[in-house]
Amino acid sequence: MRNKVAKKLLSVILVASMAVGLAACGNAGEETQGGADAAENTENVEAENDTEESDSAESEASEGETAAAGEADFSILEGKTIAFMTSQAKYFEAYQTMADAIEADYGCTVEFQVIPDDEYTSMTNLKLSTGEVPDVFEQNFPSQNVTINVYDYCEDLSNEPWISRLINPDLLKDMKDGKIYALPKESSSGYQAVYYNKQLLEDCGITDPNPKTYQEFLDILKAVKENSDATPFLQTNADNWTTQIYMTGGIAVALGDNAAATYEKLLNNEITWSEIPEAEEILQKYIDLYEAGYVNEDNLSIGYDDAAAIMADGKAAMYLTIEQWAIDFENNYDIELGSFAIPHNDIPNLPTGNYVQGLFVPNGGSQIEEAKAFLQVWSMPKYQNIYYESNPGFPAFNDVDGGAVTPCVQDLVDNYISTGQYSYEINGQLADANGCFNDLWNLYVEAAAGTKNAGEVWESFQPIYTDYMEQQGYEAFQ
Amino acid sequence: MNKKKFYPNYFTFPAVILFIIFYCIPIIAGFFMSFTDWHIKRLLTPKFVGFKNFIRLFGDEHFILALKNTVLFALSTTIGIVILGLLLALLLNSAVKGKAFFRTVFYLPAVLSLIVIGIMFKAVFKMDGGILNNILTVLGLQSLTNDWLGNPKTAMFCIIFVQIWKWSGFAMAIYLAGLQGISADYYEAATIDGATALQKFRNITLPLLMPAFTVVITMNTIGGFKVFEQVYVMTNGGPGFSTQVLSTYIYSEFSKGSLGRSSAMSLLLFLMISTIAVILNTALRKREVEM
Repeated sequence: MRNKVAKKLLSVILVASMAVGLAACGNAGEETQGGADAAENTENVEAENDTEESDSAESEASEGETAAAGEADFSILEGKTIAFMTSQAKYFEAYQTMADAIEADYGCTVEFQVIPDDEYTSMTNLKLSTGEVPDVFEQNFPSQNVTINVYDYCEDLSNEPWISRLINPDLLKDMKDGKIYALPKESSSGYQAVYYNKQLLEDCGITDPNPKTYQEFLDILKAVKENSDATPFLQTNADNWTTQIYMTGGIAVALGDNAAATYEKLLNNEITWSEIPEAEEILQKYIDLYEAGYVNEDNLSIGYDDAAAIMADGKAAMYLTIEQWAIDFENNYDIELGSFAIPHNDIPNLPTGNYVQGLFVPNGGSQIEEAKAFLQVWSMPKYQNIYYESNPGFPAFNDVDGGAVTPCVQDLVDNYISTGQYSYEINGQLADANGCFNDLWNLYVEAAAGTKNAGEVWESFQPIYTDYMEQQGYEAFQ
Repeated sequence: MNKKKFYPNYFTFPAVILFIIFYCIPIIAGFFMSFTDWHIKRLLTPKFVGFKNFIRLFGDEHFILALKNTVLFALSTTIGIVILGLLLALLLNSAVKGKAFFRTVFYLPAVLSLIVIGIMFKAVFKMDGGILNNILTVLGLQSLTNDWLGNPKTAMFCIIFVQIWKWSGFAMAIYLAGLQGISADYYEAATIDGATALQKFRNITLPLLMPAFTVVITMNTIGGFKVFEQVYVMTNGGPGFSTQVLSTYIYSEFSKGSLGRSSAMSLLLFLMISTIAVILNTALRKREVEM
């Protein structure tokens, strides 16, 4: 153990001297403004990495690792068990591989607590409010900061050593106090697109679809319905968070330039949800997909975890979801996916999240310092690279290799992000109200089930919304 | 000589103190908190709001729906369990071959975990490849196949069915205990008097089985009103809000941070269960017959 610490110290000193020498010409820490911009930035970092020698890449990784380690004493992790809570959709097998590597290096065991998606937010809130907390937990941020009340229940991580290595720190800052409350997994996420089975669509006579109007999107669905036995548009409403994707992105895209003003009016209680024509229009179009027979009949009882097998079996042609699903799918199945954004209101913009997934440290935990040290270790390139080797994407840190991104996800970056054709989905913009959105998503499910029409959904949601905001203590709702 | 041994009362203090701390105080606190705007954001500064929480609840369409679902669940499951448990007990109290085996089989669901049962029945009720739909298809009844848990019209009945399936065996065991306590002399005397099987059942079995009915009906009614796990595991209150019951609604409000409101709902549920349990118990006990 002593030898290990001595080796670490020596490498810290060596690398620190190298870093000082290189600092003048280095620009790796350059910051970008938005989450979507970060994807482009990561691309550049990857392109640069590709041109370099492999040993140079290794040395970079080692440099990052040591820089991440700073002068922290990781011996506090020896023999400890870190309780790591996450949800089914957020958990990846690579986490266990990372945990095994950390255990081998630092003698610290990670105990994963994987919670079903539909229970996750309520379970997180319950645990935080009762003090029965894990050491770290994963949640979207900063969009969920208000919902889980990070201000009272989580540690401020703004001054942790890994902050200096972030590609996109501005995106991560809390909208109220500017603090960073979690260690991010990626620099950008939440590309809400239609991911389709390329071969299946080609068999229906559709090659590389890129709809520019909503009618063109409907034409694709119609062609699939007429030319195959597959369900054109797969929905997994047993997990209501997947139901909301169409509306969460669609309403934001449809609002266009009016989005910010509309959100402000909602937060100031100046308008009701029923008074937003775009909201009703988008929801109605969603309901129309069911009425036209484009959606699978068992949509109400299958969930996110069922989608991959259904798509792989060719039972469905398209699935509206986020890029993590597509990455995971292509890792597990030898089926090529394509992607495009639904052109809501004939605007071919990609809805994207202005959030990432991150690891929070609850302040009610019994091992806060150990949890912080664990995060520091978790952020090191050696371990982050393990994740990105099997799940290529857009890393949060400038010294991590994101790998070759799945083509269907890269296409989204090239076609929408790089060209500025993207809109931020509403959840992040209305972070203050996020805590009651689960009820809204349940109402969307009722619309999908045919028990409520679009107007009724918004009428039902309005009292829930005003009540929630009143409970939260917002003056405009008192 | 029977010598009674007395212990000083203060020997009970540790148990009483624990009981007060973990039982009485939370109940009393919950009662008071249901009249406040207690919220996660105002943990230390709850304000008295009178009956506002209760008034708001009765204007909340989802609370009303949860209340209706809870009543439907409690009534249907109690009736189902009482009848099915009795039929099983009567069947297995007669000279059936392998009755010990069947008693074990029917009792088995009562000891299974609700989580396991929930997951198992999700596979049964699944639309695509589900056991029930497969059976219907094999029987040529394809038109009856359905997305059982996904259809708001059938989801609640599926959960009710699972509850009846789980607890009928337990009710059977209680009835069997009651049936075995009835002396064979009554039946012999009735046979000599020329009573039919139905008359014996109506005039001997039913009245003498009333204590067992009291236990089964009271326990299942209370259990029915408190239902949580089955709903949580099988549908989590969905699709949408269609299978939401009071306990899952209380849980969802609690996790949103509305502690005062969830306390108000818990108080209502407590009052409802207590009232019904007292009425049922009193009414059923009056019908019990001394042997």
